[in-house]
Amino acid sequence: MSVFFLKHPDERDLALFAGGEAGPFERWRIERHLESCPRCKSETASFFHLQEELSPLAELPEVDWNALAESIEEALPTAEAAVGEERRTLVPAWGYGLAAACAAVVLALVVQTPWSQPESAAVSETASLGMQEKKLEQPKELAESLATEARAKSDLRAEPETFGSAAVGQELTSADGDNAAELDQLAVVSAGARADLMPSAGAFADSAVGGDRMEYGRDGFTEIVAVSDDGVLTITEVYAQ
Amino acid sequence: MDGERPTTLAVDAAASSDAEFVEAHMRRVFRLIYRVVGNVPDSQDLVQEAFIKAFKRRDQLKDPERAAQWLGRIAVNTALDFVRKRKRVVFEEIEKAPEQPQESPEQAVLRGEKRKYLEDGLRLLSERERAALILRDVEGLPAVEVAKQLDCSPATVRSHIANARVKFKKYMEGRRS
Repeated sequence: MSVFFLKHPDERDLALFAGGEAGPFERWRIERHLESCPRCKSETASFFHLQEELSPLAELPEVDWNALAESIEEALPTAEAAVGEERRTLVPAWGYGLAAACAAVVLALVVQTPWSQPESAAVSETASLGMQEKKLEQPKELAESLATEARAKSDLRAEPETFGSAAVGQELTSADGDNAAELDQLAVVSAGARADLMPSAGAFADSAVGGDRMEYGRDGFTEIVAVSDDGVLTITEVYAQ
Repeated sequence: MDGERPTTLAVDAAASSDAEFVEAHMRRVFRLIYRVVGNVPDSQDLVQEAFIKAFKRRDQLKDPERAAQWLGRIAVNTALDFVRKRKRVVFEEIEKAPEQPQESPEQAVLRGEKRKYLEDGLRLLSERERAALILRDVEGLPAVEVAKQLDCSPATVRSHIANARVKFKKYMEGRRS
């Protein structure tokens, strides 16, 4: 027999061997060793008997199983209620606030990420184009701006508060309703049906006529002005040329 | 009223199902806990606690056929937590042990003494060694199953079992000499 099998196995290995928990190699090695080692054989036998010695521990005391079952079943609805309460309180009130704050942070990060730059660049480009696109997006503001400038350049004497502001859908009329003289001063390029609305200033580059509608342009923009029978002018459209 | 009936029936069915579950597993849960804790009053309280834990976590039970194993793990861990907090085990002598058939009074006394002697030996073990030894050598569970019940690896449970057997064997040899 080789020296390998002469070496005594560890006591713990013998304990596992006796209980059947030793691995295949360990079991083979111990079996070979026990063939020639009475001392280890006796040790192993002690471990074999240990399981029998422990058998009295398998006894159970007398227990009132019905009473125990009832006490458990009584406790269970309380436990289920606790589960429900636990689930309801899984997200505390401050949790929603925290979630909202996190969402705001994430949104802010997304807006500032590189992939959002083209959109930002587009915004910058739009800004660099000046009034044109801005006015297209905000025709009402444009109309107001144009009307103000038109009044100033045509030496309009009417006070803004008496003439009113010019905007799409808004009548260009004076507060007192007498707008004929003021319309003349508006320097709107006109022709056709309302020959009386001739330009009195060179502020407008061109004009077009179509029934009761007048079109005039300036600085690359065109305003369409509707003229009613009683001479009220209303800016109906503003667009880039 | 018609709308209430199914709800009531569902509640009754659930209660009936819960009662059946308790009835089916109560004795085993008690046995596992009693082996670790060693006395009836604490074991009864812990059985109740283990069932409450199980019902709270029943979403975790994926395979109903493994309910016994899953519940056993909860029971053993509940008992081990209890023992760890108390730092020691209070074994009580079984006064009302079920009578063995054809057993004389002398034999009953001897059996009681032996049991007390064994319980004294269990106190020498750590709670995990004790649980591993009892589950393996008293309850007869496979080592792999013991590992699952104790929520540790098979290698660790083998180590617990080996240590427990060596300590217990020395205890018994010391008492005999």
